[in-house]
Parts: sequence; structure tokens; C-alpha cells
Amino acid sequence: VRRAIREHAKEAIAILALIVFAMATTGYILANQQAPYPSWIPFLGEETFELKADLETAQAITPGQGQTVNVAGIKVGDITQVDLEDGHAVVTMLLEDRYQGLIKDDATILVRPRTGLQDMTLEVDPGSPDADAMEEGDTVPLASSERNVPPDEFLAALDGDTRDYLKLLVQAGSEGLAENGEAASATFRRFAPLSKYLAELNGALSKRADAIKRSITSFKQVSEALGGSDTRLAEFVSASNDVLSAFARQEASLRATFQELPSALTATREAVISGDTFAQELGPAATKLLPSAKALKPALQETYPFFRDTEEPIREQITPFARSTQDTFEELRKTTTKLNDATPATVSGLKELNRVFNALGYNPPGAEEGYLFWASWLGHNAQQTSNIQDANGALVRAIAFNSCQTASLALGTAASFPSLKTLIEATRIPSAAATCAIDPQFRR
Amino acid sequence: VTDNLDPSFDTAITVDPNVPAAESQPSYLDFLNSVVNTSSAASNFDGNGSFLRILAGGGDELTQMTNPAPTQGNNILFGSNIEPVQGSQPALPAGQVPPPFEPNEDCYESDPADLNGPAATVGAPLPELSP
Repeated sequence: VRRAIREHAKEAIAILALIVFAMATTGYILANQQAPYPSWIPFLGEETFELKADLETAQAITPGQGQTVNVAGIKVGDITQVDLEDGHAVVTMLLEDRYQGLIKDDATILVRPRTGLQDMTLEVDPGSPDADAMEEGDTVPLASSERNVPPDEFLAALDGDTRDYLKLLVQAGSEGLAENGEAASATFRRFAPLSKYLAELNGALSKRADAIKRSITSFKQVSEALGGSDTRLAEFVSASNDVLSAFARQEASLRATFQELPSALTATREAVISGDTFAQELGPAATKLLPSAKALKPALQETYPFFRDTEEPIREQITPFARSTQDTFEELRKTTTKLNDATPATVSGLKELNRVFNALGYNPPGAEEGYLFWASWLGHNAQQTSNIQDANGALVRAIAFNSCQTASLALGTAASFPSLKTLIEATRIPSAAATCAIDPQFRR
Repeated sequence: VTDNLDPSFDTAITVDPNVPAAESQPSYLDFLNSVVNTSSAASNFDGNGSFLRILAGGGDELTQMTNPAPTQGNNILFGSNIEPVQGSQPALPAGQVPPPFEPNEDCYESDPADLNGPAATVGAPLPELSP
């Protein structure tokens, strides 16, 4: 082998050189191909992440042909696969890893031709900065993508007459602008300020549209809330009806109230004026009270130990005592209830007793005396009348009075009863002879 | 009661010529003693019940009075007394009208009864008491 190598060294070196040159050429070609390579391929591979996009149509999109994904005209990735799912196209994109986080959830995609040969690219609007970033494998929804509309499709949508008129318009425009291109250009340039103002107007209209959208959303929320609370709404309307009906019934009272309102306001104004005077007096008085209030603080602080010391007796003694007296007070309450029932009669009796005392104690002016004088003398004289006694006890001194007629009857009766005659004589009642001799009615 | 009745009942009658002033006692005690004496005088009883023992024994002194409730033939009443009637105390008021009855006049606004005042003087015996 060594001899063969030595004999064919020149050919072997040439073959090796050709292999190296071929590999270098292949690498250069591959490096300049607009195709993504996995990260494990040395020198050519790069870190990527995958996103998908739902498109209405993937017409003229051909993976592997270097069709790119652009943001603001800058390539950020490549189209690697196109699939058909549920009647629409799903395009798989491999984006460079450094752009991860650029594409947001509200990103939109426009399919547009890069050249007149329908060499398509995906122009991506990355979305608002505040939205969340799309993760690996996320899909841009169909509503956020728009397909390319080729001129022939546009023209195909027009009918024959319209296409003829359009052709005439283009021809007439060509003839009209044949020698007036610069003037037309100047005219169109004058539209620049108008475009600027239109842009501002469109911006304002856009804000207005957003405001209308928010209003509609809020109105929808209000409608939903009212829809969920229809019962309460009905109750509210019913209650409002009742309230308004009550107001209607109180119309006369309200009118009278409003008629009183001026005088009430006048009184209120006078009260406010008086209050102002009071406030003027209150200010100096409060100022003079300040030293007393300041001096009160130490006194209150001195009372703290007292309240601390009395806390335990209140808790340990007074509270149990109060609990133990509850039954007693309950019985007392029952008694009080009965006493309360008897109070009217007692009050009436005391009033009558007061009248008795008033009559007894009344002392008329002058030398004349009242019942109290005579009652006292009655007791005195009664005591004097019965202040004699014998072996059986006290005796009441008395004088027996009779008339002439009574004495005569007694004398007649005593004639038949000798013992009665003896009694008459013993008591020494005036005799009929003595009395009739004096009484002018019987004196002869 | 405190300003009128009680001071009156606490006052002793000292103008009674039959009772020495030194032996006089508050009028409420006079009243209580009269009650005790009357009870004692009525303490005896027989088959009909209690009876009041009265010393009604008359003397030779004949007295007379107008019957306060006269009937036909009984206009003048006569009694026998031991001694002549010397007088009456307190003296009967002029016209012999009862004291004024004023239950609606607050008694605390009246003065206490003057038990030893002018109204308590000894009056002359009534003319009809002497035959």
C-alpha cells in the first residue's frame, strides 16, 4: 500500500484537493440558500422557534423556495411547511430565536408578492407592545390574516362592461397624461397635505370608532346586567310606581309643607343668626375652658388606678351580686306591677284623706277656731267627764233630762210598778210636779 | 300634718279651771285617756251585753234647757244637778254656728289651732239653764 501511495501521491493529493474544493463550494452554496437549517448543522444551523398561521389560501406559497417571513421588510424567518386543515391552509414558520417575544397575540399577517412572479412573503405586523408574546407552536388565527388579491382576480370580479370602461379610462388617462406628466405629478404632490390631514382625520375617526366600540361594549354589559336582574328591575319599577303614587296622594300635604317652607326658612335664618351669636360667645368661653381642660388631664390620670382597683370588685362581687338579685328584682317587678294597679285607688284614697285633713286643720281667720280646736277640746272634756271612778272602774258623769210630759208618763207608769217608782226617786230625775210647774205649756 | 295637726295635738290645754296647769297634758293624751276611761266605764256586762256605767244621780239644783229636737209637749227639758251650772268651756260661738268646712283649703297654710286662745275662755251658762 505504501508503495502504491508513493507511486500515486500526485493523483491522491489532486483527488483530496478536489474533495475539499467540492465541499467548500457546497458549503458556500448552502450558506447562500435562503433555507433554514437545524441548529445541529455546524456553521449553517441556527436556533429557531416555530409559529403557525391560518390562511384562507396558500396560493403561490411554496416551502423550500426561500420564501421568507418579514417584519417591517426585515426577514425574521422562513416558510417551511404548508398543510390543509378544515378547508384552509396552515403555514408553518421558523423564526430566528432572537425574535422570540416580538410576535404578540394580536399580530396580523398579510400574504403579499415580493416580485411580479408571485414570489410570496408573509408580512407580519407584530401587534401591540402590551399584548402577550406568542409561545412556541402558537397559531395566528384566520381572522388575523389576509391573503393577497392578484390583479387578475380583481379584474375577474368585474363584468365585461366595467372592464371595457376601465380600459377606456386607462387609455384616456394615458393620452391625457402623455404630455402632462409633470403637471399631474405636481398635482398629486399637492395632495400630500391633504393626505396628512386625512390621516389625522382618520386617526380621530379611529379613536371615535374605539370609543363607540367601548360604548357598545359597555351598553352590552349594562344590557346583560339588566337582563340578569330583570326581577329586581321589575321590583324597582313597581316600588318606584308605589313611591310616586304615594307622592301623588300626599300632594296636598306637600303643598301645605311647601307653603310652610318660607316661614321655616325664616325661622332657620333667625336660628342661624342666633347660632352665630352663640358661636361668637362660644369661642371666648371655649378658650377660657382650655386651662380647665388641661388641668383635667392629670385628674383623669389619677382616676386610672381607681378604675383599675375597682375592676376586680365589679367583676368578682358586684356582677355576681347583680346576677343573684335578678330573681329578687323579677319578683319585685311582679309586686310593682300589682302596686301599679293599686296606685290609682291609693292616690284617690290619699286625696280624700288630704281633704279630711284640710277640713280638720282649716283655721279661719280671726278669733274663730276650726274643727281641730273643737276636736282637741272634745278629747279634753271627754276625759274630764269620765275621770271619776268607783270599785268597778271609771264612771261617766251625766245629767238625765226629761220634760214635763215624760215625767208625768213615768209617774203614771211607776204607779203600777213600785220598783220603778223607787228607781225614779233614786235617780232624782225632776218630778212631774216640779217640771210642770215651770213649763209654761203645762203651767196652770 | 307636721305644720298644723301635730302642733295642735301636742298643745296642752291650760286654761281649764278644773285642771291645774301643772297637771295639764297634750290634747292627744286627753283624747286617748277619754277613750280609756270610756272603755273602762263600758267594761261591765250582763245578759244583754256591755253597759255604760253613768253617775246620773241628780241633786236639788233644777236646771232646764231647750229641747234641740222639740216635739209636742217636749219643748223644755229639765234635769237635777248637784251644783248650779257655772259656765261652759269653750264658750259657744256667736250664733252657735258650726266652724267653716273647707276641705279644699290646704291645711298647711292655716295656723295651728289656738287651744288656749280667746275661743277657749269660759262662757257664761246659757240663760235657759237657770229656771
